[in-house]
Amino acid sequence: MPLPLTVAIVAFVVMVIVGVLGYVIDSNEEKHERR
Amino acid sequence: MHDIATPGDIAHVHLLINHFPTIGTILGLLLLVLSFARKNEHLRKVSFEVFFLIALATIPVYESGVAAAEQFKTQPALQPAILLHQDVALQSFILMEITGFLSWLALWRMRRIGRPTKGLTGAILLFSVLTVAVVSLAANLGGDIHHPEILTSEYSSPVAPTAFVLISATTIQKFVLQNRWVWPACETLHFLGMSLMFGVLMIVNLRLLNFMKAIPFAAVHRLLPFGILGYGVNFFTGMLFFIGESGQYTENVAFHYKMILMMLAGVNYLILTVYTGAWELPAGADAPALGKLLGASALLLSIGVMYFGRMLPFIGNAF
Repeated sequence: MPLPLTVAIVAFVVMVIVGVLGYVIDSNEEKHERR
Repeated sequence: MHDIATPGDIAHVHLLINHFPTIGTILGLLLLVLSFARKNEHLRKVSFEVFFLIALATIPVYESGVAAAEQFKTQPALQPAILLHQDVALQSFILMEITGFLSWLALWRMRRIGRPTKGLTGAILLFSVLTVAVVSLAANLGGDIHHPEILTSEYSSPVAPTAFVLISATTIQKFVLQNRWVWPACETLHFLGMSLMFGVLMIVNLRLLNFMKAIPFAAVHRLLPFGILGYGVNFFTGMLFFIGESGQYTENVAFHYKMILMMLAGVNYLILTVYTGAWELPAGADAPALGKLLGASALLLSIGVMYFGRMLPFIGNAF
């Protein structure tokens, strides 16, 4: 696999994980604030 | 640019600050246990603040340790003790940073809903106990480097220290340097993490500087976890750079300035998370003078961190 493509895939996957983690923290927060 | 520290100075810095993680985590853990015994939420909050600050202080402890180790490269007899100390210190460093992240999350949640969840508190308790155990071992092994008198069998541990090493600095270094995609991928992620962190810092701190006054501070405060996640990406990739090519950083003046500003920015972030004066700011209200100072200093410190990061090859000797 060409290097630029590998780099792009790795960066994309890591940032998706970060986004999901942020979403989980935020939605959990919203759930607690509603109570 | 005039360097603020020679490699020898940094070795001294390591000797001065290497007790912070051990004593700090023990203190934090004692406060946490005391908060359970007294059912005192305020004490619990203080223990989380201690864990966060110690996690921050552990970064220069680890990095100055690597710089100190470089001073002994010409003494092969000391290498086994140094490498073992460094590897166990790396495990305790990872545990400490996880404890610091969880503590920050608990503080953020306490600010918003008044209490952390039981799961989060339990996780902090577990990780802080593990950190105390491993950091104490790392400190003990550090003592072995310059105190050969305690290396007799009478004082030796019944458990081999290598049992605590799940990942060694050498393994990480090989991973970073032997795979061509790792360094550019980390550079890309370092920029993405920086953009995420600085974007959040801009929104939150500009509100303190009376921009977007229609928004209450509590609304922008909710974005802070995204900022700390951006910081997490940069911390992780930054550590891969540091472990991969430590010589580029330990003797680099721009890196020394970057680290100092990063420590101050970390303290600033903690105050931003828990500061009541800002939290109570409704829509349309002006931030108090302290809030404005906090907002302005956060932005200036972050710009300083980015500036010295970018100038690593130009002011210093990186790459």
